[in-house]
Amino acid sequence: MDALARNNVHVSGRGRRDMVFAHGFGCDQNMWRFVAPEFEGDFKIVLFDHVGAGGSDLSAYDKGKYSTLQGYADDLVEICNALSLKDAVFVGHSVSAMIGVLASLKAPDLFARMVLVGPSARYIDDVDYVGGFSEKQIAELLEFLEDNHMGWSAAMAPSIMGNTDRPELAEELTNSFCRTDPEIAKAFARVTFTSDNRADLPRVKVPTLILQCSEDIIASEEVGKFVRSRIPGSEIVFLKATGHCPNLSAPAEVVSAIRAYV
Amino acid sequence: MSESGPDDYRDLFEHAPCGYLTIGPDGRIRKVNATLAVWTGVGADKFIGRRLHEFLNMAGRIYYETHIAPLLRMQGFFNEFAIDFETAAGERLPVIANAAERRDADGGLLFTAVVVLKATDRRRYERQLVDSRSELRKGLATERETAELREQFIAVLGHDLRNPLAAISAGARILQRSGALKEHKELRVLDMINSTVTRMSDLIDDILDFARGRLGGGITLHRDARPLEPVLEQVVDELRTASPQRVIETSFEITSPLKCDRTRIGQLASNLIGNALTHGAKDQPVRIGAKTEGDEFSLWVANAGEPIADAAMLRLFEPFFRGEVRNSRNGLGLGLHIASQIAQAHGGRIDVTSTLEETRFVFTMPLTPTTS
Amino acid sequence: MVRSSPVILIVEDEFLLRMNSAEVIEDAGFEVIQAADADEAIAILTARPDIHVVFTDIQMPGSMDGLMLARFVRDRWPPIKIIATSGLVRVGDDDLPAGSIFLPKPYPHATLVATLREMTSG
Repeated sequence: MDALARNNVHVSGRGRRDMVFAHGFGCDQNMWRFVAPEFEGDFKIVLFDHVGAGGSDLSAYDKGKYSTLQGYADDLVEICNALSLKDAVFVGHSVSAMIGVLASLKAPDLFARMVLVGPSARYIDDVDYVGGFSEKQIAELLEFLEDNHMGWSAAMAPSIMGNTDRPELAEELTNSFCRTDPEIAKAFARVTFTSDNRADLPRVKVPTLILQCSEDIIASEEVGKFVRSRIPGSEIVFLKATGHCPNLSAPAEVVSAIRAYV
Repeated sequence: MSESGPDDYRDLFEHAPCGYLTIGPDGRIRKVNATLAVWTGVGADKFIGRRLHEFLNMAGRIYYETHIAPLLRMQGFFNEFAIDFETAAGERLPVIANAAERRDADGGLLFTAVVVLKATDRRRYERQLVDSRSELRKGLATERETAELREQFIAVLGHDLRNPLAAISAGARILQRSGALKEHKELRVLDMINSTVTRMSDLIDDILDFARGRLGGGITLHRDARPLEPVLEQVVDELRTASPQRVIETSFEITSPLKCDRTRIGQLASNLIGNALTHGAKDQPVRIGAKTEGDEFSLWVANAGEPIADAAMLRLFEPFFRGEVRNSRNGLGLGLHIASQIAQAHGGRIDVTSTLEETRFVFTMPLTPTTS
Repeated sequence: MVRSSPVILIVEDEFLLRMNSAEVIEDAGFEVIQAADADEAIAILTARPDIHVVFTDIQMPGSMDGLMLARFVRDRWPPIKIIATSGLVRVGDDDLPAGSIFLPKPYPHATLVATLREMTSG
């Protein structure tokens, strides 16, 4: 199976260095639309969709393979190898932060630097660890995603044409940015929110920057600080942006933070 | 200065039949209408300056951060999403909401407007639909598993029954080949061994077809559009060879292309003709015809002889029904039953008329399959 | 120089079927050795180096079925060609060692003989 087609890979930019962006749970590569183009002058930009999201090949979704984050990490390594990337900069949002960590452990020469946006090594609280969620809340989330399945099919096929406030969108994609097969969405949610990668952090050998938002209920400051404390030699920058998706809500801040690091 | 009345804009906003709130570019609630305040039991002033997700349950908060907010940013609007508010009393308030961004001429975000409708009944209904569909899916998956196991069992059973038969045939062939048996009577015994084995093999086929049909699932077809006539001709030839003293007349006019399971239709024809040969007048021809007309394919088998008794007509297609003739030479009484199963599987039917002049079985099916 | 007939090993547990196949193959000019299961077949193959083709049923009692036997034979004695037959399973090209033939039962004797001739020519 051709990884580049399977993961809807898009390559752009004129630079000699490589930069890979990985989207998180909920949306697809479009969430980098305000950030990635800023680096096209200096980098070769690689964007992709995880299997099950965006324009990826849904028929490639395998319950067994994608029941752990390693399955997604393997895909990422495959994509990078298919493009012969080396010493790339990896920018991963949300759960893709850990997917990037796993990829870098599997293929140590792949990334020269990593930028983790809103990372969390584990979402469910544990003894002496605050992840932010209880198991009951995650179970509620999974059930809730089913409730939005019906609304999903109606709302997720956007009629962008009708949005005269943002005419530039009218010419762009006709696919919805957050639409995916509801079964796969539920499974990805489960994998994400029940993941635990705390033990993988100390093994990271790549210089890593963590971008932490304030008032991010998904990955709180405490969680971000934990990640920084466990990855050797890592740095953390506290953004003024709030919420979980600074790449959309405060892209300029994210761009300058990344630029300063690479 | 005009007096404010019940239909002035401010009032329309406050007391709209829906909840209405606006969120500033900083993500904090600017305005909220009285309806939403009443629904949630949270005072309007408690909303102002807070973030929307503070009023949702945890699942809603996560969904807001991972789907709603990003989609609004990327698309400018998001319609018909479902979220749950948490009322002041700690209860769940399920709603359906629309949200749209409002931007100025330079594209700067002014505010986001969110409208919510109470959706308790609708959400409950939808949840029931989702639940029953997932039950259905599970049921279908189990059925598919059971069907696969049943198919495997039938295949193994068929193989285990046919293997010893093949051995018997092989034994007869060995004896034949050896040339040691020279007497006419002995050679006839070898012939009879072979023909008896064939009869047994046919019985096994019938039983397995019956098992497939009765244990559920019905007969699976493998349709294609290859010509049917040659198959029918071959069936008639085999029956002529088996009963050389009988006359079988054919009249085939299949002009339109026909998508069917040729083997099964051949089997249906064979069963109908066999039935006609068994029960019809021995000195009269058995007639078989087939044609396509309009959107229908029909195949009929007619014979002369004693009409079928009224009582028997009702039970003709029942399994194991053998009518008056009780003779193991004529099989288990499954032929017509299996024929009707094949007819059904093709979305068709078999009709019978029986008078003093003739008995006629007519199979009809639509050319375009209505059932898959 | 007299060329000896190619030697075919038949592996089939049903006695009459085995005997009948043996006669058909002998009549076609081959030398036939018979085995009733995989264990017997392996003992024979170990003892005689001159077997050309193994013709085996797939469903057999004993330690191995025909598919496993085929793999075993290809592994230990690569030059030996293989024909497998069965009335039950439908075997794909990938299930048998490369170059093997699968004959679904019932098969015409002429097909079996033609296949054997092709495998032992040259």
